[in-house]
Amino acid sequence: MLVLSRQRDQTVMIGDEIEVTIVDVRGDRVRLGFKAPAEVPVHRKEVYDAIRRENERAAAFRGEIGRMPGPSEQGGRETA
Amino acid sequence: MRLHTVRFGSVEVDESRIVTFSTGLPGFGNLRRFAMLWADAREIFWWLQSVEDPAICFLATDPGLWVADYAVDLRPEDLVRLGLRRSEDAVVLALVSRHGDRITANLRAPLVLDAASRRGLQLVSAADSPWGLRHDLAHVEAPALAGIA
Repeated sequence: MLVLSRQRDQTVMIGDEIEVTIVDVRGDRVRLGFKAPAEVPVHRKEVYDAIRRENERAAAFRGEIGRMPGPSEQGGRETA
Repeated sequence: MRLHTVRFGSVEVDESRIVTFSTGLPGFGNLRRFAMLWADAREIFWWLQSVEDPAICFLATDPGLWVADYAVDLRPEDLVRLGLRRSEDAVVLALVSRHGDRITANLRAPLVLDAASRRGLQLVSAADSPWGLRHDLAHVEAPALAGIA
Protein backbone atom coordinates (compact mmCIF):
# COMPACT_ATOMS: atom_id res chain seq x y z
CA MET A 1 0.00 0.00 0.00
CA LEU A 2 1.27 3.46 -0.91
CA VAL A 3 1.37 5.69 2.20
CA LEU A 4 1.60 9.49 1.82
CA SER A 5 1.68 12.22 4.46
CA ARG A 6 -0.67 15.14 3.79
CA GLN A 7 -1.85 18.16 5.74
CA ARG A 8 -5.22 19.86 5.92
CA ASP A 9 -6.35 21.29 2.54
CA GLN A 10 -3.79 19.22 0.64
CA THR A 11 -4.92 16.90 -2.11
CA VAL A 12 -3.93 13.58 -3.65
CA MET A 13 -4.58 12.84 -7.31
CA ILE A 14 -5.53 9.33 -8.42
CA GLY A 15 -5.08 9.18 -12.16
CA ASP A 16 -6.14 12.30 -14.07
CA GLU A 17 -9.63 12.73 -12.75
CA ILE A 18 -9.94 11.67 -9.12
CA GLU A 19 -8.98 14.06 -6.32
CA VAL A 20 -8.98 13.29 -2.60
CA THR A 21 -8.63 16.33 -0.32
CA ILE A 22 -7.95 16.37 3.43
CA VAL A 23 -10.75 18.68 4.56
CA ASP A 24 -10.26 18.47 8.32
CA VAL A 25 -8.30 16.54 10.95
CA ARG A 26 -9.52 16.36 14.55
CA GLY A 27 -8.05 13.78 16.90
CA ASP A 28 -8.51 10.38 15.28
CA ARG A 29 -11.10 11.67 12.81
CA VAL A 30 -10.26 12.77 9.27
CA ARG A 31 -12.72 14.40 6.89
CA LEU A 32 -12.03 13.70 3.24
CA GLY A 33 -13.41 15.36 0.13
CA PHE A 34 -13.68 13.47 -3.16
CA LYS A 35 -13.91 14.75 -6.71
CA ALA A 36 -14.52 11.96 -9.19
CA PRO A 37 -16.35 11.47 -12.49
CA ALA A 38 -20.00 10.39 -12.18
CA GLU A 39 -19.17 6.88 -13.35
CA VAL A 40 -16.76 6.33 -10.42
CA PRO A 41 -18.78 5.52 -7.30
CA VAL A 42 -17.25 6.48 -3.94
CA HIS A 43 -18.43 4.57 -0.86
CA ARG A 44 -17.54 3.97 2.77
CA LYS A 45 -15.99 0.51 2.72
CA GLU A 46 -18.00 -0.94 5.61
CA VAL A 47 -21.25 0.15 3.94
CA TYR A 48 -20.13 -1.29 0.61
CA ASP A 49 -19.02 -4.57 2.25
CA ALA A 50 -22.36 -5.03 4.02
CA ILE A 51 -24.17 -4.60 0.69
CA ARG A 52 -21.73 -6.92 -1.07
CA ARG A 53 -22.39 -9.64 1.52
CA GLU A 54 -26.16 -9.23 1.17
CA ASN A 55 -25.84 -9.42 -2.64
CA GLU A 56 -23.87 -12.66 -2.30
CA ARG A 57 -26.61 -13.97 -0.03
CA ALA A 58 -29.25 -12.97 -2.60
CA ALA A 59 -27.33 -14.75 -5.37
CA ALA A 60 -27.46 -17.92 -3.27
CA PHE A 61 -31.27 -17.88 -3.18
CA ARG A 62 -32.52 -21.14 -4.64
CA GLY A 63 -35.96 -22.50 -5.04
CA GLU A 64 -39.25 -22.12 -6.76
CA ILE A 65 -41.17 -18.99 -6.01
CA GLY A 66 -44.66 -20.01 -7.03
CA ARG A 67 -45.08 -20.84 -3.34
CA MET A 68 -43.74 -17.55 -2.03
CA PRO A 69 -46.30 -15.47 -0.17
CA GLY A 70 -47.30 -12.22 -1.86
CA PRO A 71 -47.65 -8.84 -0.17
CA SER A 72 -51.38 -9.18 0.49
CA GLU A 73 -50.90 -12.57 2.13
CA GLN A 74 -48.81 -11.07 4.92
CA GLY A 75 -50.95 -9.76 7.76
CA GLY A 76 -50.65 -6.00 8.08
CA ARG A 77 -48.47 -5.58 5.03
CA GLU A 78 -51.10 -4.58 2.52
CA THR A 79 -50.06 -1.60 0.49
CA ALA A 80 -53.63 -0.46 -0.32
CA MET B 1 -30.65 -13.39 -28.01
CA ARG B 2 -30.15 -16.88 -26.65
CA LEU B 3 -29.02 -17.13 -23.02
CA HIS B 4 -27.53 -20.15 -21.36
CA THR B 5 -28.56 -20.29 -17.71
CA VAL B 6 -28.28 -22.74 -14.86
CA ARG B 7 -31.78 -22.03 -13.58
CA PHE B 8 -33.76 -21.95 -16.82
CA GLY B 9 -31.56 -23.85 -19.24
CA SER B 10 -31.26 -22.25 -22.66
CA VAL B 11 -33.77 -19.42 -23.11
CA GLU B 12 -34.49 -16.86 -25.80
CA VAL B 13 -34.55 -13.33 -24.36
CA ASP B 14 -35.48 -10.17 -26.22
CA GLU B 15 -32.82 -7.43 -26.08
CA SER B 16 -35.48 -5.09 -24.70
CA ARG B 17 -35.43 -7.19 -21.50
CA ILE B 18 -31.74 -6.63 -20.85
CA VAL B 19 -30.56 -3.96 -18.41
CA THR B 20 -26.95 -2.75 -18.20
CA PHE B 21 -25.40 -1.92 -14.82
CA SER B 22 -22.29 -0.07 -15.98
CA THR B 23 -20.79 0.10 -12.47
CA GLY B 24 -21.83 -3.44 -11.59
CA LEU B 25 -23.32 -4.64 -8.30
CA PRO B 26 -21.11 -4.84 -5.18
CA GLY B 27 -19.59 -8.32 -5.13
CA PHE B 28 -20.44 -8.90 -8.80
CA GLY B 29 -18.59 -6.02 -10.42
CA ASN B 30 -17.62 -8.02 -13.49
CA LEU B 31 -21.26 -8.72 -14.40
CA ARG B 32 -22.84 -5.82 -16.24
CA ARG B 33 -25.86 -7.14 -18.13
CA PHE B 34 -28.94 -8.78 -16.65
CA ALA B 35 -32.07 -10.11 -18.32
CA MET B 36 -35.29 -9.27 -16.45
CA LEU B 37 -37.78 -12.12 -16.47
CA TRP B 38 -41.11 -12.24 -14.66
CA ALA B 39 -40.77 -14.92 -12.00
CA ASP B 40 -44.41 -15.55 -11.17
CA ALA B 41 -47.83 -15.17 -12.71
CA ARG B 42 -48.79 -12.64 -10.02
CA GLU B 43 -46.05 -10.29 -11.33
CA ILE B 44 -44.66 -9.68 -7.85
CA PHE B 45 -41.18 -11.07 -8.42
CA TRP B 46 -38.59 -10.74 -11.15
CA TRP B 47 -35.62 -12.90 -11.92
CA LEU B 48 -32.50 -10.93 -12.86
CA GLN B 49 -30.47 -13.43 -14.80
CA SER B 50 -26.87 -12.52 -15.55
CA VAL B 51 -26.14 -12.50 -19.27
CA GLU B 52 -22.44 -13.10 -18.62
CA ASP B 53 -22.58 -15.77 -15.88
CA PRO B 54 -25.13 -18.57 -16.34
CA ALA B 55 -24.99 -19.39 -12.61
CA ILE B 56 -25.91 -15.93 -11.28
CA CYS B 57 -29.60 -15.13 -10.97
CA PHE B 58 -31.16 -12.74 -8.44
CA LEU B 59 -34.75 -12.63 -7.27
CA ALA B 60 -36.13 -9.10 -7.01
CA THR B 61 -39.38 -7.40 -6.11
CA ASP B 62 -40.84 -3.89 -6.19
CA PRO B 63 -40.53 -2.66 -2.58
CA GLY B 64 -43.56 -0.42 -3.07
CA LEU B 65 -45.76 -3.53 -3.25
CA TRP B 66 -44.67 -4.45 0.28
CA VAL B 67 -43.96 -1.14 2.02
CA ALA B 68 -46.42 1.64 1.22
CA ASP B 69 -44.15 4.53 2.22
CA TYR B 70 -40.96 3.20 0.64
CA ALA B 71 -39.02 5.84 -1.26
CA VAL B 72 -35.51 6.18 -2.64
CA ASP B 73 -33.49 9.35 -2.59
CA LEU B 74 -31.66 9.69 -5.91
CA ARG B 75 -28.77 12.13 -6.03
CA PRO B 76 -28.24 14.27 -9.15
CA GLU B 77 -25.24 12.10 -10.14
CA ASP B 78 -27.42 8.98 -9.95
CA LEU B 79 -29.91 10.58 -12.35
CA VAL B 80 -27.03 11.47 -14.70
CA ARG B 81 -25.73 7.91 -14.63
CA LEU B 82 -29.16 6.52 -15.47
CA GLY B 83 -30.00 9.21 -18.01
CA LEU B 84 -33.14 10.08 -16.06
CA ARG B 85 -34.58 13.55 -15.73
CA ARG B 86 -36.81 12.89 -12.72
CA SER B 87 -36.43 10.33 -9.95
CA GLU B 88 -40.19 9.63 -10.25
CA ASP B 89 -39.46 7.91 -13.58
CA ALA B 90 -37.12 5.34 -12.03
CA VAL B 91 -38.08 1.70 -11.67
CA VAL B 92 -37.05 0.45 -8.22
CA LEU B 93 -36.40 -3.19 -7.31
CA ALA B 94 -35.03 -4.80 -4.14
CA LEU B 95 -33.00 -8.02 -4.14
CA VAL B 96 -34.57 -10.89 -2.17
CA SER B 97 -32.72 -13.28 0.17
CA ARG B 98 -33.62 -16.03 2.58
CA HIS B 99 -32.27 -16.06 6.13
CA GLY B 100 -33.53 -19.16 7.91
CA ASP B 101 -37.31 -18.95 7.76
CA ARG B 102 -37.26 -15.25 6.85
CA ILE B 103 -37.66 -14.03 3.29
CA THR B 104 -36.08 -10.58 3.22
CA ALA B 105 -35.51 -7.78 0.74
CA ASN B 106 -32.59 -5.39 0.69
CA LEU B 107 -34.36 -2.04 0.92
CA ARG B 108 -31.16 -0.19 1.85
CA ALA B 109 -29.46 -0.85 -1.49
CA PRO B 110 -32.19 -1.04 -4.13
CA LEU B 111 -31.64 -1.43 -7.84
CA VAL B 112 -32.77 1.65 -9.72
CA LEU B 113 -33.48 1.38 -13.44
CA ASP B 114 -34.46 3.58 -16.32
CA ALA B 115 -36.88 1.54 -18.41
CA ALA B 116 -36.30 3.65 -21.52
CA SER B 117 -32.50 3.49 -21.65
CA ARG B 118 -32.38 0.11 -19.84
CA ARG B 119 -29.59 1.35 -17.64
CA GLY B 120 -29.45 0.49 -13.97
CA LEU B 121 -27.43 0.91 -10.81
CA GLN B 122 -27.50 -0.33 -7.25
CA LEU B 123 -27.79 2.49 -4.75
CA VAL B 124 -25.23 2.12 -2.00
CA SER B 125 -27.03 3.97 0.79
CA ALA B 126 -25.32 4.94 4.02
CA ALA B 127 -25.76 2.92 7.19
CA ASP B 128 -28.03 5.67 8.57
CA SER B 129 -30.62 4.89 5.88
CA PRO B 130 -34.02 4.22 7.49
CA TRP B 131 -34.35 1.03 5.42
CA GLY B 132 -32.82 -2.30 6.31
CA LEU B 133 -30.52 -4.63 4.42
CA ARG B 134 -32.82 -7.44 5.52
CA HIS B 135 -36.35 -6.09 5.56
CA ASP B 136 -38.79 -8.91 6.36
CA LEU B 137 -41.15 -9.72 3.50
CA ALA B 138 -42.48 -13.00 4.81
CA HIS B 139 -41.87 -15.89 7.13
CA VAL B 140 -42.03 -19.34 5.64
CA GLU B 141 -42.96 -22.28 7.84
CA ALA B 142 -40.75 -25.34 7.79
CA PRO B 143 -42.97 -27.46 5.47
CA ALA B 144 -43.00 -24.68 2.86
CA LEU B 145 -39.22 -24.48 2.89
CA ALA B 146 -39.04 -27.68 0.89
CA GLY B 147 -39.83 -25.59 -2.15
CA ILE B 148 -37.67 -22.61 -1.20
CA ALA B 149 -34.33 -24.18 -0.52
